[in-house]
Amino acid sequence: MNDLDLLKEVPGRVGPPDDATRERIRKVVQARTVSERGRRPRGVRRAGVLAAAAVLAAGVAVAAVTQHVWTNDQPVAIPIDHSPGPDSNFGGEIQDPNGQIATSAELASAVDDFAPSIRLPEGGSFDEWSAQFATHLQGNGVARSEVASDMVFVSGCQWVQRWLYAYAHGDQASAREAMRVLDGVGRWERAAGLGNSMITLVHRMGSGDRAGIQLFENESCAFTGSWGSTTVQQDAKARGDLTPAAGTAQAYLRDGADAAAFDPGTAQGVAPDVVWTWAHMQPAPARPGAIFIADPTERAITLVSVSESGTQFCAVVTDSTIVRGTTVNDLSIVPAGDGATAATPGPVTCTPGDW
Amino acid sequence: VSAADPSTPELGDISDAQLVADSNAEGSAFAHLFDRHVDSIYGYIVRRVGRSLAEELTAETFARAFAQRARFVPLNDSAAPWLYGIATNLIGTARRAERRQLAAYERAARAAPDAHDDFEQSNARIDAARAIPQLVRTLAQLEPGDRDALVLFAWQDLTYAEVGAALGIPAGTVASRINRARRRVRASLRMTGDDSRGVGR
Repeated sequence: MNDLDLLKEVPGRVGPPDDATRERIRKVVQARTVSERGRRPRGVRRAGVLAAAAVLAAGVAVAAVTQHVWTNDQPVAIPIDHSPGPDSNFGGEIQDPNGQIATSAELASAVDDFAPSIRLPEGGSFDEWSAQFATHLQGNGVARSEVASDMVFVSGCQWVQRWLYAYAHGDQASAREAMRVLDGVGRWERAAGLGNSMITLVHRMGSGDRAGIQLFENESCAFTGSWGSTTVQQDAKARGDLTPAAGTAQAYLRDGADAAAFDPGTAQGVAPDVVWTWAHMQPAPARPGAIFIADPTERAITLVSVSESGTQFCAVVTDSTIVRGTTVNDLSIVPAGDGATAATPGPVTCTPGDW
Repeated sequence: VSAADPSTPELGDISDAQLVADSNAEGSAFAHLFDRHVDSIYGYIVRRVGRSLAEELTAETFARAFAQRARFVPLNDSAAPWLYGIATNLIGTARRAERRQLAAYERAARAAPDAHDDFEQSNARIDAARAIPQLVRTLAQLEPGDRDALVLFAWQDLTYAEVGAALGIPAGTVASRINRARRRVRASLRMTGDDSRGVGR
């Protein structure tokens, strides 16, 4: 028997909790999360609502930051108090921000306060994120610490996008810079009690796990509105719009529903935050910020999200798979005739891509 | 986190990563993740800090996971390392309870060989039982980070990569922490004459 075998013999191994214990734990978790469930998780502001966001953006857009307090060694310079204890809230160690915000103006003020302390990549921006955040405020109080933690996460996402772009183009210097910044972001997040996710990402970048990083970008960053003005960020936004839409379509199919019946009206009922469109809506149905529902195949729903850069990202969704790619089909054709009987661009060929 | 609907089709085919992603759009999906992992997380916490804190820390683990779910980085589609990491961070705030628990294990193990004067027990098993009090004492003396890595590896059967994801450290650091901890454990066992024979993993 070796030392590891001996370790396993240390007393204290227990079976699963009994039903009563499990239910007590469940109730505590439920109570702790009930106020969250009506809102998106921190770091997540669902894609869509872009028309409203565009209007609100005018009110909350962040002015260009010319003075910053972050440094190369410390990409996040928002002070934190100490390591979190069991009684502290998520991110509750962040200094300053125990105050609450409830209006777009207060959000803009908080963003202005924090932005100089958070390093963004060139072309990066908090504008899209803050516009979406404003739509979810709806007069509800949100702690400034949540604004700060979200902004740090959004900055991390933009550095992740930067790394993906650099990695794909063999730009090792930029990839290394992104990793260095993300390591600093991760150290700050960990000290603030926000988990190890960015640190884990850096380790995976170091091992060249591009697919794993892309998965994180698709599944987590995609929801944040964490994009800026560069092509890579615009493409990330288009993919981000597609991710929750694909999830919605898959949930629809898992319920045994008919792929052919998935139209904007049905989709809107399932996911009202997403802007849905299809060829029967005129004019120019496929556009940035909207999810285009292509003609269905027998068991699959094909969705397209157009980037401002012109790239058309697509997802072919079945009840068990989501194949992501790009399409070059011309979706800008305005159908002849009218209504549901009009000709459409036809089925979309979605070429599986590297995202 | 309401009880998950057991009639959900093909739930077993849905990965943890997908459940977490789904929960970003629809929070109720998190209930499935809770059901999938609550037993192992509870068991881990009980073993480390005892039953008195286990319910509270288990609930806190899942509440924090829910709050942090947008930041989840999937590793092989499993959320287990992520949840163990949150739980381990919480255990780190309860070191006094952990020390009490280890002391209790030491007392229990000291009492055990005498209490089981059973001819059916193999000599090796008796030797092991006698070695455990010293092993537990050494475990208590390890640096917390080394102890975290070692017990996640030895008790929860996580791989180096999974321990790394849980603790937010590279796999290489995990290896060095575990090696350092095991050297100390083996040295302490030799000092008491209860040598650990062979190094399996």
